[in-house]
Amino acid sequence: MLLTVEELTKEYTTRFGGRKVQALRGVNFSVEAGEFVAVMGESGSGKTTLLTLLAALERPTDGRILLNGEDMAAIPNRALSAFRRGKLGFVFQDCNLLDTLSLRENIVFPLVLAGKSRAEMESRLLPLTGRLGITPLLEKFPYEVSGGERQRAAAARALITEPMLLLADEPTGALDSGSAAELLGMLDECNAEGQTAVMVTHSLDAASHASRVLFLRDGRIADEALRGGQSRTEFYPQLAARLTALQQGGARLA
Amino acid sequence: MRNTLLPRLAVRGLYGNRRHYLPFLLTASFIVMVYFIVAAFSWNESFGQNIPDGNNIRMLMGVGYVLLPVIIVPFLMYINSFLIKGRSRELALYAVLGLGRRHIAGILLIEAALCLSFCLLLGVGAGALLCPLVLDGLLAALGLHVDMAWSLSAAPVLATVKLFAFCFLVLLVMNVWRAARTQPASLLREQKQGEKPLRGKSVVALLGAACLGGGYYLAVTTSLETFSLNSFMLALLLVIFGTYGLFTAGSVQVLGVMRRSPRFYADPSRFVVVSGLQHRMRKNAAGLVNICLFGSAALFTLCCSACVLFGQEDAFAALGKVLAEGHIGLNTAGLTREAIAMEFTTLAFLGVFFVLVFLACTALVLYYKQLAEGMEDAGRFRILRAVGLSDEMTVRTARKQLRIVFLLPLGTALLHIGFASPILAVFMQILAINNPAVILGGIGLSMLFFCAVYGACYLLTSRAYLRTIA
Repeated sequence: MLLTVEELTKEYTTRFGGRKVQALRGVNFSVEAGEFVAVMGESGSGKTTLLTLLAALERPTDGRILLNGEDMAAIPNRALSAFRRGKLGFVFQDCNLLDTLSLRENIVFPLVLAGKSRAEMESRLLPLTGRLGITPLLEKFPYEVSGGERQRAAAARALITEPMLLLADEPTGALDSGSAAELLGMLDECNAEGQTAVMVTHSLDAASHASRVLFLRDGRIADEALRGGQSRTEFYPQLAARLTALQQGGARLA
Repeated sequence: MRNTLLPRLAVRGLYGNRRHYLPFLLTASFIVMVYFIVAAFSWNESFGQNIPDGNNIRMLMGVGYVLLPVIIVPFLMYINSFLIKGRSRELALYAVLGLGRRHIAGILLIEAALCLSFCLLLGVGAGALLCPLVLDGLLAALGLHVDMAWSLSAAPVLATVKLFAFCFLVLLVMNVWRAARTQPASLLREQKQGEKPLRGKSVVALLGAACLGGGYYLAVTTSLETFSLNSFMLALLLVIFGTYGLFTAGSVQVLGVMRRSPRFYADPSRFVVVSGLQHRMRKNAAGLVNICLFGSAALFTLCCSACVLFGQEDAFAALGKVLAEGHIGLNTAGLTREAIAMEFTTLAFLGVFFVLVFLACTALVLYYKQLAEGMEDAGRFRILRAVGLSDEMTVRTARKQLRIVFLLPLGTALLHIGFASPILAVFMQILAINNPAVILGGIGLSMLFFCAVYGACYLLTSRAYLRTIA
């Protein structure tokens, strides 16, 4: 198992009044190497919290996350950022590219942090950007390119460290349908080459690219759908039906 | 309900922006206080009755009373322009929620009235309390033992109220005009576009260097015989333009070279700082230049005051020599040691008031710069952390950036004053102070004092920056 999540719970305390809000209440699942897992749910279902915890940006209240058998809770705070940039790659909804850096600089930034040599940066950069079709744009700044190109640059930044696990938070949320399709196609390709990925989304179209879909509701995993050998067009209505059933009363919710 | 809505919105607006408004109000109150003290001295008629030649004190203070508004009014307008800029979104939100332009003007009017009352009460109150102490200080510096009670008259209070009421009226008109011009929808939309790279950088940088060189040349070649107010103003303008040109365009060029060097990729904190500075250097540079110029003004005035204070004996001796050659005694010329001491000491006191105003301006601009940069950088550091910049590295990077913001204006101000020292020497020659030791000593002490004050301001304001990005 590449990723194992056991009884993951996260409580937030509201700033005033000290009321506790449970964003996640005992989530269990695991991801095998090479899988492409999508997590679906309404806003407020705990999707983003789940991704924040997987990204080690916050610590869980209870439960464990094992990446390749290593318990994330055991990693001391000062080693966390090195762990993040070494093992994980992120694609955020709003790209999170730095306006002050050119696309080239944005993409190699994790390697700068890791103290890699200039030659190694270039040798990793060019094949990646060639595949993503953004090599001619490398000297441009984020505000000079389109949303889809920005998101591809963000994906390149996530992939350049050759992460064990790619995490994506609504990667198509800010894109038009054409750019979204391109980005998802690219994720498919990476996955076909063996990249393990977990994507959080509320888009059925995006989720239909995954090999497995987890439905999150009120902080729990309410349902799970396996794509198996189905094509995307076959998988899509199945997901839609599950989602509708879930929203109309949560028949499968115990 | 309806009657209290606007005042409540006004109070909420000020309170909600207290991190911006409180430093502004305190600095403005401080400036009110300084202005009031100078006004009170220039209106106080008891000097002539209690001290021989005491009316000279009034006259010199009167010069300051006339000149201070020339600094105060533009400065308050400058600060106001970025206070109101920071509130555009809030005002746009009011407009979207259905408040008419008249209501928004009403809110701004109430805010202005509140700010004005606060500054006047605090400034005039503190000034009235401090006046007797300042008088004691002046008399002690003069070595006079005069029993003189301080009497508060209405005239300086009225003059202070008039000036600052006028100032805040101008600010109010500026703000209302700005609020009326804004398009709510476009303001509420996120404006996240970067700055276009400055065109013709190298030309501007070269022009800046030429201006600065010309200004420095004029300053260095100044002598008592060739000195004129026109050439002094020309040198001043050249240095101001030169500083702007070099800071805005020259810095971008230097940063560009740093960005192309292989070392850029070798050090993450350099990578972040250099790219960040280059990105917004045009906006950044204007702030840095203003800090540098206010600082230079404070430092130059401080040097003058120090030299005048320490140079009294030299002036007295020099005048004695001149007059002796003409076979006129000092006393017969009406120049007693006391009269010279009074002129010079009062002049130095007046200089200190100007220094205080300039320093207050420097500190406030420094504070806003740190705050604005902090807010802009907070978003960047959030992304950097998510990508894997460690907390330790974040703090190191922030400190590196802060050091540049600290050293660049300070170093340039010191350099400016170094080159301005021949002009300073000519000013002193006009006052018959010819002793180089006095002038060098005055400059040296002033520089030390200035560095200490600037460093303290910097430490205080950089806390605001670090708190914002944390």
